[in-house]
Amino acid sequence: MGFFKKRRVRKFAEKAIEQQSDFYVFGSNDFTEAFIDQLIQLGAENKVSLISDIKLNWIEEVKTRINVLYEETKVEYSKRNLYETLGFHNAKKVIILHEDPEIIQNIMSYVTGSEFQVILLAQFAPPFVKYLSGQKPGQIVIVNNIFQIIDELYARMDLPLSRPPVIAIPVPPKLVNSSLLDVKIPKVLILRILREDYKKKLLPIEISPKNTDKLLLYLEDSQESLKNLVDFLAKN
Amino acid sequence: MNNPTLGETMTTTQADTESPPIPVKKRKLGDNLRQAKFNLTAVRADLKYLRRVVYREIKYFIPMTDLIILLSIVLIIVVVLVLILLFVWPIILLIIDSSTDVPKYQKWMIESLTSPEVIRWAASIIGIVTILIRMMIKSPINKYRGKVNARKDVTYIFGSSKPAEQFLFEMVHRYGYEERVSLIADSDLLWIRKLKAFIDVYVVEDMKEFEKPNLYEILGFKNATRIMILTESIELNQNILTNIRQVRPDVEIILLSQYAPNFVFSDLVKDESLFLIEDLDVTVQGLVLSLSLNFDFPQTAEIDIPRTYIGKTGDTMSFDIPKMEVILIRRGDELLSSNEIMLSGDRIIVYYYSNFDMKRTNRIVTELPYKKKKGKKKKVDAVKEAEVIRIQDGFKEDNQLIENESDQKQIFGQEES
Repeated sequence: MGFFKKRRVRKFAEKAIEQQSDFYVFGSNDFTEAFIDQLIQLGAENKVSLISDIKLNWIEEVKTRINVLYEETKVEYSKRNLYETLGFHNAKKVIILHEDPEIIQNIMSYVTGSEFQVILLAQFAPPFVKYLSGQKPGQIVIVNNIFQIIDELYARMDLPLSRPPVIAIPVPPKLVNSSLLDVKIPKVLILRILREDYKKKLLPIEISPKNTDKLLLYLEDSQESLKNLVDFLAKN
Repeated sequence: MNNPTLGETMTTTQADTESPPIPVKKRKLGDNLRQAKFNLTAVRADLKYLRRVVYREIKYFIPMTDLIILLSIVLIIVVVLVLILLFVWPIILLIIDSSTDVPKYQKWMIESLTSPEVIRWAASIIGIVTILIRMMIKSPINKYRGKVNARKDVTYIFGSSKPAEQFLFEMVHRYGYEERVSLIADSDLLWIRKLKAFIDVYVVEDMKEFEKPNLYEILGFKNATRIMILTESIELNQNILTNIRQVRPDVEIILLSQYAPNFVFSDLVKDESLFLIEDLDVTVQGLVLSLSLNFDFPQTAEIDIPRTYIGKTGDTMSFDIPKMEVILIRRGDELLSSNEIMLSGDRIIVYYYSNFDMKRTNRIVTELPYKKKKGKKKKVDAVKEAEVIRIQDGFKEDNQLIENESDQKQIFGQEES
């Protein structure tokens, strides 16, 4: 049986190499369903490989369009063998959407040493992940969905206070050590440079940013601004 | 050209040589005075808030003082009775009969009062009083109800989930809105115990209580402006939602779509006061975005301007208040740089390094809002007058049109006739 199991995983890994999967998604919950659905709508189904811990109808339906592996035994997630067989060739991002902290911990401990980026949800991120993300900034991304949920709650509170559409991004490589005054992104305002040496410090944009700095941006229109920003970052 | 030494080569980078020095403004006496004024305003705002809280606490403690008064009265009566029997009654007896032996009477009285029968009677009276006290002491739920009902416009939050924790932390420690929220938790976690010092909290000990309508009937939610159900159990949310609707059919209820019971999505449910936070959509958007953009949310907030900074620049405010910086000024739809002069009605977007300074500034804004009565009234009056004139003119024009039309009709009528 073990032979067949390994063959099943290997087959999945071979298919992932064949279709050049950029994203490996672990999970089976509502978030996974909605995320996969969104990726299919964006036409990125060829780039996704899903590793699910349970057989569900929605996964059976998308199985024809994306590469799926059912790994229902929880213990398997704690074995190095699974990750070695998966290989994660071509992987650019591994997205972990599990709710079980034990499974998250196991996956994290085997995938964080690699070069690809690991993405998690803040809602299900165990405390050690925050520690790891501090150790490896940029490699581990925690999508702060709690912040966004609270944003929505604030909007319902009728308070004289609101959360502005301000985000922080790492300085694009081409803008390191160059002036930000001439940078123009439609519907996006560059507000400040956020520098974190031993403590956080806001600097005016007249100063040239370092590669460890972040840029504080105001998004005038959430959708259009983000689109323009992604376009700008692709060029820079 | 001088060759740099090894130390210089290692420490001096291109960025350091190219980028201009970071401007540092020196503090003057006027700056310190302005900061002192801001601190005084912050104290005033805090005092105003404290006064209201103390008044509310006193109001709540009035039923408790009833119990103390009752006990004091009982004690005073006992002491007065003993004193009368020991000192006043012998004097009366002495007046009636001069041969009365007062010391002997007092000795007899003391012996009588300390006799087993009297002690038995006293014990039974103490027992009755204890029962009365027990009856008057409130259960935790009644205590919570009494305290929370002393406030108006409360947002009740159910649950002990991460969103609930984060939301309450920010409301209390970052923005200072502790009066507006109250928590009904499903577990007695450490963060909830800490929160008890700031807001009214009731911890439901047995989860089955959430199923019973009794809990909701006792609480009543009469002063609720909205109820946020933020537990992580769909079943629990269903129980809370259906039971609250029995007590308050009209109150605004907010649920996370992730944990919303399926029946709320049914077409049969037509609840106009039920709102779903689409956290599933929001999360997926964040996930999709994270595939192409590495970003996070810095600590920022958009608030009104503190009254002391109207007519000053945002940079002045950043200079005065430590660990907080004005990064943008919003005047209607217009976005202005922080070196612009701020006017009343403007909003500022601030970045904050410390929760304390954010809370202090926001407390000034909420407790001591700037007065815009006169100007606003005049403006409103002017607008109203303009509106009246416009409407009158409109009527005149309409009348003229009607008159013209009737004239035309008359003419046409005449012509037709």
